[in-house]
Amino acid sequence: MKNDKYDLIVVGTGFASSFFLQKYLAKSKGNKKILVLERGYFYSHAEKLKVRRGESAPDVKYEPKWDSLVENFNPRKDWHFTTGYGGSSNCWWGCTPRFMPSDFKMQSLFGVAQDWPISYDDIEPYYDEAEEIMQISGPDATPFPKKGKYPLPAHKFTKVDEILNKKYGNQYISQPTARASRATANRNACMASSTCGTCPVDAKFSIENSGMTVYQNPQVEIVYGAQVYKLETLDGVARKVCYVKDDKDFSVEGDVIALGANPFFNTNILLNSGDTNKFTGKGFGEQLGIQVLIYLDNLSNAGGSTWVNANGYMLYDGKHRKDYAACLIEVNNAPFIRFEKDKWLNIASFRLVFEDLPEDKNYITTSANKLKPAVHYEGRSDYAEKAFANAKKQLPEILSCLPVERLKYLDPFPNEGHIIGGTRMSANAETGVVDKHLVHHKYRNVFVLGAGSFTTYSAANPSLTLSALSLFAADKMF
Amino acid sequence: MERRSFLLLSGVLVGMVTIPPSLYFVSPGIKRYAARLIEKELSYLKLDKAGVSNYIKDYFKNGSNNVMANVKWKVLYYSRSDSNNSNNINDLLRYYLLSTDFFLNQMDVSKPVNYIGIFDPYKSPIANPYSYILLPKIGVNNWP
Repeated sequence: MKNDKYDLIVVGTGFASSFFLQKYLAKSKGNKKILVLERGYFYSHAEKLKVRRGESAPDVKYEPKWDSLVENFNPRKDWHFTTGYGGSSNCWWGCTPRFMPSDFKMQSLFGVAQDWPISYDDIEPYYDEAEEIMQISGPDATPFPKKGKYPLPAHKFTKVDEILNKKYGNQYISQPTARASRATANRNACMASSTCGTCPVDAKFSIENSGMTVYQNPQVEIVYGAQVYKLETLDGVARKVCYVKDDKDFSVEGDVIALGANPFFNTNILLNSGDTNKFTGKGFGEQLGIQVLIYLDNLSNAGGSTWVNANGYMLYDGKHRKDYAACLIEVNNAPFIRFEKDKWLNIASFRLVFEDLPEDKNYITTSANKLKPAVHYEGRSDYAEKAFANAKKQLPEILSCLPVERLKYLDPFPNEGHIIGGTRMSANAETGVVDKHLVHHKYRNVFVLGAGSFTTYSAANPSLTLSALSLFAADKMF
Repeated sequence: MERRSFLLLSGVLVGMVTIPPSLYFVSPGIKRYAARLIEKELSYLKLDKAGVSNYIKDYFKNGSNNVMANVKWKVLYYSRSDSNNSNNINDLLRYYLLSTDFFLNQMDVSKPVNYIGIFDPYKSPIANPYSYILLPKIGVNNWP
């Protein structure tokens, strides 16, 4: 390292860290010392493509399996994530719907869980900014408030989408997505390969292809292979960041620390630091995803231009959320095929994504290995399970504008690729871990970024919202 | 591990379309019954028999003989199981069609269906058949 002490130390290089740095650098006067500690390495998209094609690529060693990095106590539940430069921007599938305003007011509107200490209006401008950076493709009309257009045009509808959009208007829209509908300066246009984790044509936004230059900024120094496990604290202030690199222990001093790892590692760091907040690590989870195949009579579903072609909000908002969860419908182009003559593509695929609630039975702790968080996940809430039962009742009516032959429900997915909660945002330390600016209630020079800060989960995908929150936090605090 | 579990983990049923290494144990009998299952359900197509055989060989690559697996595929065939009630058969047929020129030929049943290599979005020029690049919005049917 070039220095013994830094103005800002950032942990991780994923969405949360990168968007935080983007705003921090925009507001700083160009004379800051910033250290970034990344537990993984730079493993380029080009190298990943070689591996996916079966070619040998030495960098494959930089892609450890997620379950080698945590102690997972529930073998029936997966938690997929990637480490290394760009974090989970390397494995996300690019779905970027905003949260609904009601998602921030679950207690006051529905008597469920807690309200966030911020509202939709507070972060609305930062949604715009994040969407601009990600060059989101999206429609003109949306179910959530939005001023102005998305940077890129919406993806193409199929005939099925057109029929549903005609019936439901802004409750059925082309999905806002970071899978580009047109080629941009740094990305190609999506070809609907439906293999988005590592996009075959590099159409999906990632930190690597973002055009963001935060890690090339001369104020920023990045250290790879640095596994942060603890903060040294004194009188409620974090003084040093402790990490392991090449099997050796290091520590470095910082005035401000931003934890931008995923909720497992952020929690591990806080607990190893002596954080006694009763909510740290508690109530993490993710949405429940179930696929339903819709067999259509004399109607093809071909012609879409991306993986998730549309989002349906017909089961999302309403009084029902007092009793059961919101459901966001992802209408996807996964290549399910029929084999009856002339019906090969007469099938639509809905993924029903149900919000869940933070429950104490699902929690993260430290383990005997200081680098490995322990993940204890017992299961979904009744709130989510009841919503699925309701969706099964309502779908036939919702789909009555289509020539439906039959519906086939597949087993729930073992994961949605999201990790939410564990360091929830709240008005005070008695009800959560971080304040509305993502600053830890006790350690006032520590930001805890990312989806771990979500007070409640929403049914919508988290990456856009957590990116907007990073912009919001850095803008308000510097 | 069950094949379906593996597919779920690898993301195929989520939307990913990578062919995983086969977990089946393969004997000549398995290949024979698997080929018959394809020919039975797709009997209305002009299948290239050598292509079906090559596809089966690639699909079950890395396998070895196993009596129980052989019996399983034989039972699937004789029990009148089909793609609607067997995930194994559904996967077998799905990847077969994705691995041929059937969708490239706009699902023209008058043309022979040729195997052109196991479907892999990282290697294959064949796009997802639902993509507008391959087929237009209305596809084969002209629903209003």
